[in-house]
Amino acid sequence: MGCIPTKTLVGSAKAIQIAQRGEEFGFRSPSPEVDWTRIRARKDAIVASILLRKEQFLEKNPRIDLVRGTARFLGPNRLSIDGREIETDKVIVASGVAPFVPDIPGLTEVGFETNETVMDLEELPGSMVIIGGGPEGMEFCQLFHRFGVKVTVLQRQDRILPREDEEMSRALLEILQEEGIDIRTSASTMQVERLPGGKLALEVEIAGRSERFECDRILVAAGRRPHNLAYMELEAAGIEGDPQRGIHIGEALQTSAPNAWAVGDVIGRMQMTHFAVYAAGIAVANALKGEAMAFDTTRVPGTVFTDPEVASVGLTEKEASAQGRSVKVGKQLMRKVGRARAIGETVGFVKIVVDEDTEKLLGMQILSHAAGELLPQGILMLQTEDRSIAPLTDSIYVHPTLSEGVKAAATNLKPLEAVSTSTGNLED
Amino acid sequence: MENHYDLAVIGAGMGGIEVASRAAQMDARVAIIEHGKVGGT
Repeated sequence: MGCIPTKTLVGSAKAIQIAQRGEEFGFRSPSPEVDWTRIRARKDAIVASILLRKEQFLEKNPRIDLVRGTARFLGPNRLSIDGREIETDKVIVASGVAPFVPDIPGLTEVGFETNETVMDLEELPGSMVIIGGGPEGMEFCQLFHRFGVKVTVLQRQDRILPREDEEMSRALLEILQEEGIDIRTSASTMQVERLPGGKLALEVEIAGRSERFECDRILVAAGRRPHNLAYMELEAAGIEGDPQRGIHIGEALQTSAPNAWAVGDVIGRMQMTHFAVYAAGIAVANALKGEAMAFDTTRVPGTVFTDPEVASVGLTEKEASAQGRSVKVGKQLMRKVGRARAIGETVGFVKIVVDEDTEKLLGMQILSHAAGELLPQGILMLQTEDRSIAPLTDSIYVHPTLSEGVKAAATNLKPLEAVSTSTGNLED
Repeated sequence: MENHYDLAVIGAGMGGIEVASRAAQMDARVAIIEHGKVGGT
């Protein structure tokens, strides 16, 4: 669904958070009463309208046959779908992913939720443990916390959002903990059991010590793996793949079979809708026009939709240094940005990573309100030939906007030339 | 419905739908196969 369902919940959760800030913004109202049924109904209506449109598009297009059923290969050019056989010249596999369930004793027996089920629960649980501290775990923990659930996150690695800039992971961790969410890192769940009375108990090892957690529900948000490759009988088509990495592809998205390509989550990396859509364009050109366009992951952006959001494109400071480059970083705190103060969203900062020798932009990471909306400034700059950040520093930005934080970060690469009014830069 | 296609797409999630759409624009006859909900997860 392209993540729309969680984003509708993010919308509801943010509205609830603002409703609790009457003292800050100047209104009096009793604490909002969360109506989970209504939150779900809103989500379902929005999702249904999008799904319906997509289905209608497929059904109405005269060139497209929507075949419902489970596909199984009989050969490189033959498929059986629940008994009906079809022949095809080319194949593109876009079968997606399913939640990865870690092998924890007792987990399957006691039962758990995943991203596919948790948003459809009839009632909110009183308490929930979330296994997984990546983007999914972080989005869900804040949502459910704002809906009134007592949430604990258990992250196996030593930091949340391990693929993001380290400074930003740590900053977000503090922000979420300050909001009241219990987040534990270096936490490995060893065993799960159901107690008499119905609650679930987890035995967890945290940095060498054993700790016990109890909750009403467990949410597994430990990543996703390619859907059930086995039932497709890929070998019959000569397509190689495995449950961990998904379908094996070359740089032009081609599989080991000369007439088959793969796109989207099933190729086991960059599990984001916009990457699937980008890959789709490449695969179709390669499959139908005989081209061999390569896909490029270095400029694929991403955003974690927590509040504040974490948005990133290109290399982090650490990644760039690891490549042996001389790196300089331009930074701007959001609390110095006028618009951020005006709307009461002052947490976070912008980081612009530049190669010191070539002055070229290498990456941009933003932790802020609407960071995902600010990110295209970096996305666009990375696509230019010279990757210069001059447009960021030289353009006239509207004042007051959050984007001035991006301009200021770029300008701060040359601090002596920075003029506070031209960047909308406020003193502390 | 027919039984020979230029392209078979397995999965009608966001990636698969984009594939089918573009292929159709190129005049290809496309079968898109889905065992769950159109639109994916």
